[in-house]
Amino acid sequence: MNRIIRMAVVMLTALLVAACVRNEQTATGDVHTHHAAAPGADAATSVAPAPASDLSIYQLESEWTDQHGRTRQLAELRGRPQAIAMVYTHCGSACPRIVGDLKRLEAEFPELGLVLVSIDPERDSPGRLHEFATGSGLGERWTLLNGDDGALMELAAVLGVRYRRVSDTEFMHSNLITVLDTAGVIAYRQEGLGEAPRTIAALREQPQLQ
Amino acid sequence: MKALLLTAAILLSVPLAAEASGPRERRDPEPAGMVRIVGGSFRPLYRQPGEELVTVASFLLDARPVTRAQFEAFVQAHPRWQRNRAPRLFVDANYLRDWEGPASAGALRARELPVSDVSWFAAKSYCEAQGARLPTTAEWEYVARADEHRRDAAADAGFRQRALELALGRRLQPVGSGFRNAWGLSDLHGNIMEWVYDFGSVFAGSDSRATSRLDRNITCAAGVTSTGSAGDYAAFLRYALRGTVEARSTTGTLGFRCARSIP
Amino acid sequence: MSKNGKRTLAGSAVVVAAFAVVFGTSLAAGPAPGLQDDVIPEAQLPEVKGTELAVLTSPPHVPPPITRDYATTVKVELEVVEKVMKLAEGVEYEFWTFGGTVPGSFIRVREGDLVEFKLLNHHDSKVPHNIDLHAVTGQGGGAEATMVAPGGDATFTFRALLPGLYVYHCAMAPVPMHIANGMYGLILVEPEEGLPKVDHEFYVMQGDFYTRGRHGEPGLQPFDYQKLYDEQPDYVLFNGAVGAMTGDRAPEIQAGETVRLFVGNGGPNLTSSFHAIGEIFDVVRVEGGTLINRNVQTTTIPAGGSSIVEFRADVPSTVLLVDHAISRVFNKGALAAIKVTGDEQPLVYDNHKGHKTADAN
Repeated sequence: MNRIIRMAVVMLTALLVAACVRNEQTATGDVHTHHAAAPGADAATSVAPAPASDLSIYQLESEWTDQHGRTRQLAELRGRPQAIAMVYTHCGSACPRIVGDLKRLEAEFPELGLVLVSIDPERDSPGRLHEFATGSGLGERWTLLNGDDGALMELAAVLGVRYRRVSDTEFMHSNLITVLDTAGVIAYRQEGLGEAPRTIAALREQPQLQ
Repeated sequence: MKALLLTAAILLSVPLAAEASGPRERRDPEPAGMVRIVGGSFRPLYRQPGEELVTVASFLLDARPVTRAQFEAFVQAHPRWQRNRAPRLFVDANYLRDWEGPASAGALRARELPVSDVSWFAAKSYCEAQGARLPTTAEWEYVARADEHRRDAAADAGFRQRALELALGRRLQPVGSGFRNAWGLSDLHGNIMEWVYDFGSVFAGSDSRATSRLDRNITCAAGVTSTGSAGDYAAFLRYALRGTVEARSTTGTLGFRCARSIP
Repeated sequence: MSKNGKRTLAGSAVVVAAFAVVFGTSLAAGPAPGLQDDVIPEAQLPEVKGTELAVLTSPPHVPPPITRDYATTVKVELEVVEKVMKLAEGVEYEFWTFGGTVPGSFIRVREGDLVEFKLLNHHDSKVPHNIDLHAVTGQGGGAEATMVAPGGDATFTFRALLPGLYVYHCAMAPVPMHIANGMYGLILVEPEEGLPKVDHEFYVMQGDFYTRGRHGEPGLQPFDYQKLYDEQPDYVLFNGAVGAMTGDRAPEIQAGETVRLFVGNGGPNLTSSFHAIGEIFDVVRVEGGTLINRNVQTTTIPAGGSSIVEFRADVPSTVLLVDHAISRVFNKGALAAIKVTGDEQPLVYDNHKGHKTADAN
């Protein structure tokens, strides 16, 4: 019975959040980019609004290795909201600030999990990720992931992250933090650095995310 | 008795073996319809940060874009990619929007048109089901330099103008009926725009006029996207599309073809 | 003292007093105009009340003057459509349009309004687009916020800070091509007090076009890169086609009525020497700004610029609007018309032929 109630709560939450998805904002001015399919906008057949699980990124079946060397699937992150960013540990400029923004979210929202996915899997081995997590004070609530190029490409595609290698040691990449609800549906996108206060304010308006 | 048991075991193991291999391993041993492309190096006409000289290894590429008929066969074999079943994470609301039915591409005369209204995820899955993949931007731009006779006609202003005109042609045509280049590839210029595997590595720039000084707040390590030749307008258009489209986007003018690495 | 002397003393006193008044006054007024601190005023951000949906019009029509006297949130939705249309008789061209027309839809807002602008790109477009409105104070005039792939849309908000007639255009690379394909239009920010009333308002916008074939060569003509590079167009047109505003498509007004033309120049390259044959511009709001010039024959409209011209149509005639770099009229199509009908005014114009000469053009 408990399990059923819990599932119902999760699904209800997910449905409520899916309804809010179209109100997402990004940090550059008041820009609203069309992201989720508008329910009922299917041109050929009339369909009911897409169920929340239809949009969950946990539909990706890719395999990852975390900072503890464990094999993980993204779907294991289901059940609590997650803030996720794609970075690399040798990044000098933006990535530390992204981590900083994530730490602010960590402090504000006790239920929130935090996920860092490396776009530099060759250098950011699970061991290196473990070192980085320890060195940066990233505790229990943090998941750091190493995956192959295919897995990275797919994840970047669903999150809307762009990245490319520009030298032997440097990558160019979007500065983006994506907040997922408990079902893995994108609930908020923070574009740009140092926008944590705005993100926090927006997330406070979605209490089921906290 | 032993012979009987052995025969039974053999007969039983055949369907079991077939079960174990599953649909993903149904692979075409010969890459039918593919052309072998000899690798080389080139300076892209629209250079992205970190790009000076690009080298492409030899690879195989579909001679033609994937057709509606071919994609129909794919969704019939892989029902989860039918219009009413594909998750909205992977396709938008316009996926295969003008098809007769979820698993039916429609009229006979439309079947040889390049498939359109497919997302990157759908295109990628099609290629993977053939044991292939989408071509990379580098591979695509490499073969796009060829005109009808030369493998590298990029320096020819007349060819660049023609490539631009072809790219802007309005109506979709049956594949193979249009421009065919020195590699034997049809419809690279004209007919339909095409997905590439790494479209997400293209940065279009927030405002295209300053030859793209990208905003360092939005993009880490933002440098200047330089243009090798401001005269290749067709390349500008392709890169603009790659730089703004989303993986789940479907449009009426965007399709794809598949590639394979050569081991 | 003698009577004379007294008068002289009083006269001097008057002169001195007058001098003091004038000199003192001018001192009190401070330095000459143009040097005061407030010559660049603070941005006006009046309180915004309510919301309304913008009325957009296709050329040559203009939305009606704004009657409200407060700032509001104006919602604008504009869709980019790539479509083949007639360029000239027997000649077609693939235009890229804002709202399906060249020039694009006319947008009319009021100084101080908050504009919520949504740009959509039609599903069948081949390439992405965006928009830069010259009325916008902000990155790229909105271009950075509005890149849209085919099928996509984006929204941004801006404050119409200053009155004027502003060009908008697409700013995706390659920009000259997007503009050469017709991606421009006008947005009018009315001053708070509005513009003086006139009988008619029309929307005219000049552009240069570059086709592979020469002017008049039939068929679907593709865009030509080399001619654009050399800034040598085959067509110079008002409102996107030869004859877009001539003959049956020329608006008609009555002699004695006043006309205001909102004139833009999308370019991409050419500057216009804008002139009305058979008329004089009573009023020119120079470059679409606040400076007013009067009694002007030909006014310069730079590429990416505008002008507002006003005149009373004193006599019946067909007023021809031209770019007075005259070979553009004769050879490239830079001609539009306004038909003025009504009674002859022989005290203004008499052709000594006894009857009306205004002919259908």
